[in-house]
Amino acid sequence: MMRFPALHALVLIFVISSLSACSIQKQTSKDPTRTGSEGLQLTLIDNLPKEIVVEKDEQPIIFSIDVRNKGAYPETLQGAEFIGFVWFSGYDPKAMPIEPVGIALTPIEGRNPANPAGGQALVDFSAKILPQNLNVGKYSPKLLANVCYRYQTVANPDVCIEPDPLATTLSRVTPVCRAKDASLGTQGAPVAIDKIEQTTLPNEIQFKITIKNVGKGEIVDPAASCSSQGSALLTRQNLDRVKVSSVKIGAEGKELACRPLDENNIARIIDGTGYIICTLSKKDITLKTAYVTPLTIKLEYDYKQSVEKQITINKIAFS
Amino acid sequence: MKKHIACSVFILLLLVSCGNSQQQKPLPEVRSGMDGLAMEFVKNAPPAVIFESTSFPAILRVKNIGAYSISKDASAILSLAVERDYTIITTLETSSRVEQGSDKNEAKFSVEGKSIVNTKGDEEVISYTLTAGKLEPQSETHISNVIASICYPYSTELVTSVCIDTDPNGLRPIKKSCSQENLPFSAGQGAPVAITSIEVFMLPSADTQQIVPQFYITIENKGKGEVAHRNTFQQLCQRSANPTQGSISYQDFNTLFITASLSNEKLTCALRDQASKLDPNEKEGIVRLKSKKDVVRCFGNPVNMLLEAYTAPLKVQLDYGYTQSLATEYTIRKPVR
Repeated sequence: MMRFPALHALVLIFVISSLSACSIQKQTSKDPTRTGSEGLQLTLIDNLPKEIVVEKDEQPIIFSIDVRNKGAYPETLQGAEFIGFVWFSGYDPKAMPIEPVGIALTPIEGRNPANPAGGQALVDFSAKILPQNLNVGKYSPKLLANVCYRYQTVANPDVCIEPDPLATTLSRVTPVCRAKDASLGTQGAPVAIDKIEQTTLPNEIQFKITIKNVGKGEIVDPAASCSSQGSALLTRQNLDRVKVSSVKIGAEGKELACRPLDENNIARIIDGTGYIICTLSKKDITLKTAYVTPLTIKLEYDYKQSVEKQITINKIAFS
Repeated sequence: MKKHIACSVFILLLLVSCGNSQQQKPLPEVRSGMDGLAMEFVKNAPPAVIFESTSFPAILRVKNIGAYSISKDASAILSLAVERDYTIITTLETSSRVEQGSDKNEAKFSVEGKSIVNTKGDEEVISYTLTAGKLEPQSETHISNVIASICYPYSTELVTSVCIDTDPNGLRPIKKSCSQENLPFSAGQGAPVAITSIEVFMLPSADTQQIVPQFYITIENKGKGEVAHRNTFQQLCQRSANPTQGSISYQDFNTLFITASLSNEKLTCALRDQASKLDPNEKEGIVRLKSKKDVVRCFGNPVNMLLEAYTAPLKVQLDYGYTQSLATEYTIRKPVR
């Protein structure tokens, strides 16, 4: 009895996948280091016991954070603009001050063909448990190790420019390429250019570029301060804002006009997804036949993410 | 094949057990339960039947199953009450930890509570020798009662972590370490008076960019006895009034003192008018239980709203006297002649 519905479902899945394969072309990055949905990856090194027992004396402890650049930016450290802050939150500074309050990261190289694993840095914070400000018993804060860093997403898929898709010339009948929607996947960054949908209109070619937050954190407007001091001041207006640095087409790098963008070329991301429409005027197309050309999209943003760790400090008194 | 599987399972178990032995054991939790001192008459002391004009023992085992230690300086009092026409208290067996009080029926003693080095608490055995009196000529037997009352100072100490949520309305979009939440405490704190819940409020003040942490602390008498003022509780177990302590009044019952701190800074506790009327000089910190329960509102110093949410240590301490009683009976019989 169960065979027929199962068979039907299989056939349906096959048909759907065939159809979708027809309409959207999967185009992943040519460079394997330019894939993945992570930028910086934080790991709190587990160097502490389950329960830290203190009595009367101050107890120093070290919180170590392993920061790895799992993304593709910056490709090289030379000339790269790298901004990154690491800090802790969630603790009571009167009971357990942590110093320094925040640490500015030194540039960490992204994944590249010469360093496919990406760069790494170890950041140490010194904390001091002050038993005089604790009560006899347990104090269990949930520590958040936060990082906020500037990152870039670069995608350069090949697109097919068909100036006149309705033409009946021989070149149209057997074209070099056909304009298709392209699914790009990820580009080695927490914000990905997910999809490019292409529409050819009488006077222009439109590229609808879908931008997605594929990481585990929040996108912050690069104009807002995202350090230990500024993080608490962030408002909803500062979040989910990506700067579209450039959208260029062709080898000569013709800049496309994109919309909708706020001041400073800021695109909005809503519920993790946003889009922009960039247009190429047909006046700028010199060839009359279809051709393949690279479309280079560059996004810039700050990205904030956190990892948490519950610690327990048990103050005991023998007297 | 089966042998191999059994062998592999055994080796795995061995490895797992080896691994566990390396792990640090958490320290025992001693501040739990809803009892302070617990007492019982030792079996056959007093015996069920005694003959007139004979001596017999009345022995009490008093155990401190709470988390507060009763010291010699502020000792507990055990008072034995008998029917004077039928029984006389002859002696109280004293020791280094048990002293006689102002009367023969009073024993002053100290007993340690539960601690991380003594997780079960200490106990004391207090022994009296009683002598049965003569029965009336017409009586063959008489059922007599003995009542043991203990009055002791005790303290409830709650130490917990509380979230200071600088964005209680969730307006900021960033991930928070913790959020404002109420704290229930159903297991007690190893004392007869328990803090059963703390409601947490963060009162934002838009003008000053500060929030004021506020706590509604629910206090309940969960033990088997009565709460009394920490300065006068001893009189409840003393036959003769101590002139230095003044007389005990109804206001001394159900009265306790509260002190609370957040991040080692004292909280201000607002108390009901009726509590403050008790003693104008000592109104700060006095709580009066009504139907064994009260809710106290305490608030802390303002906290900068521009800080991220954090967890702070909170301590609430209640100081009070406590009294409870236990009775048993024995039959005084005339010897057969």
